[in-house]
Amino acid sequence: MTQYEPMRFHKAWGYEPKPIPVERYTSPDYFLKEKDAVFARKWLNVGRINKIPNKGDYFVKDMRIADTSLLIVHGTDGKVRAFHNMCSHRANPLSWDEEGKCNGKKGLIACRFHGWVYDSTGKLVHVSDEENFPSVNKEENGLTPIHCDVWEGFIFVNFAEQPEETLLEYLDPMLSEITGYPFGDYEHYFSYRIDERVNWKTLQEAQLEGWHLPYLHEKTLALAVASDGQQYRHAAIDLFGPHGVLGSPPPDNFEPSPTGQIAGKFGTGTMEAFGRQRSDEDSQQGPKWRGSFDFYHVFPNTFIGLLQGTFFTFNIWPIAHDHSIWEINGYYPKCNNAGELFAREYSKVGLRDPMMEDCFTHERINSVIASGAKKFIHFQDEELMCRHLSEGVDRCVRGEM
Amino acid sequence: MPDLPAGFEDLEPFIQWAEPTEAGRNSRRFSTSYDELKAFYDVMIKRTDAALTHLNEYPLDELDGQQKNLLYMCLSLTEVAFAVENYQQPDPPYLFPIERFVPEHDRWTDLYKR
Repeated sequence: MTQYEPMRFHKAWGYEPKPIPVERYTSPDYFLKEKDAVFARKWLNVGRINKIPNKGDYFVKDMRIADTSLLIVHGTDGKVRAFHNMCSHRANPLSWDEEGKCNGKKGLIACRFHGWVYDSTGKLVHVSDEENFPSVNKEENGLTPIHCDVWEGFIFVNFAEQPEETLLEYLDPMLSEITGYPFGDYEHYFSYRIDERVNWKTLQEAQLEGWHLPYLHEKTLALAVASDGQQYRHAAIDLFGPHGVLGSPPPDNFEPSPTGQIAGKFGTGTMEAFGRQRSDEDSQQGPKWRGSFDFYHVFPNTFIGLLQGTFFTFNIWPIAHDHSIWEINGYYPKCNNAGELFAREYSKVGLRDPMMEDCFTHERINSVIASGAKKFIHFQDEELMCRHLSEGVDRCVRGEM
Repeated sequence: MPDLPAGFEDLEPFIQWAEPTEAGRNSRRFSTSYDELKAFYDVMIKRTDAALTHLNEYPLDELDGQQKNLLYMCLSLTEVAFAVENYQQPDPPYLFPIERFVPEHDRWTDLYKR
């Protein structure tokens, strides 16, 4: 039985085991500070290029945290841009649909209110009844752009007038760890949206540690991870600037269920990927693997979960201090037949049920935490990433990061 | 016209499980008695291998109505499997309400990708 040195991760990453003030979760004032100090400054992932694979495609991203909605456009010139989804005439959202396609070769999009037309680069190309708008200069009234960049198909935006770092600089310490995973070969297979009464950091915390698996998920994921008695030990926790990664330890022996065995015969299932031992072959190409499942957190609100044969993402969007949206998206290699589809579906349901167990805790916590009965919460060593998020946000709020 | 391809007549009594959407499959899972779930599970766990082997002989986007029914019944097994193999009950008490866990992909027009 492996012996783990107590507080190994705190020592390695220079963190003190201090209690965390509950105010960070319950205070509307603190939330307003987070809005300015974090969400108005940091790069935020709004989805993957799979949503807009072709030139002229666009999708709309509601961004309550910035009091706006974004129009993310794959331009006819191939560049992906983000704009406020807002006509320059009277601020009507240009697209009322969640997604669509610009019209024609020129890639035009017209406002449904009074017909002003923009091209896919955001330029205003037509003002209806133009002679009656003597004060409107088309050159100066294009769509309002937001900084936007794409890494490995992940689309990020930044609301700052001038971002403090480029996207690549922001992700840099972590990039080389993930590079090589075949993101571009995978297709979008599932997408969930959960509207929850919970603080956005509480929502993320169950995803920032695997230690709860043998407890909360005793009937599901616990079967596919190693635990020493009841205690789960991460294969690794590594931090990169404000970001970090958890490595999940596979069990010594993993016996798939009868349905899992059928899924395994026809394709790859999530439980099987969780339970899989890493081989030398894995480390020779692609990302640097730490466990059977490596879970990356991109500060402040995005997760990228890598497994053999599937990856999934979480985006957590705050609405208020006690209200958040959880978006879950899953990606798989091209599906060739019914057997592979069955394996994918089993994989998806096997992820969804544990996430419903996670969700159950969110609103329960939210229903009592504002009472003020507890002034602090506590994170142990295996929960270092929870601390890293909370402290990272607090450093931003204090103006130190 | 039978609901299922030739050779799978034995699954006809469970045809109500040929649900095309995830929401349809899981609402049936969460609202069916454990005995009924177990009866469906016991049959499908023996027949899914043969069903998928049959369906694999055809391109996924060219399956006919009977074959799609068979596929949807196999997909229902993925839901029922967790009720039987993991939870041993149809509606575990400490799960977030399934109807608030909204499967946006059910609205996608393509059966299996985008």
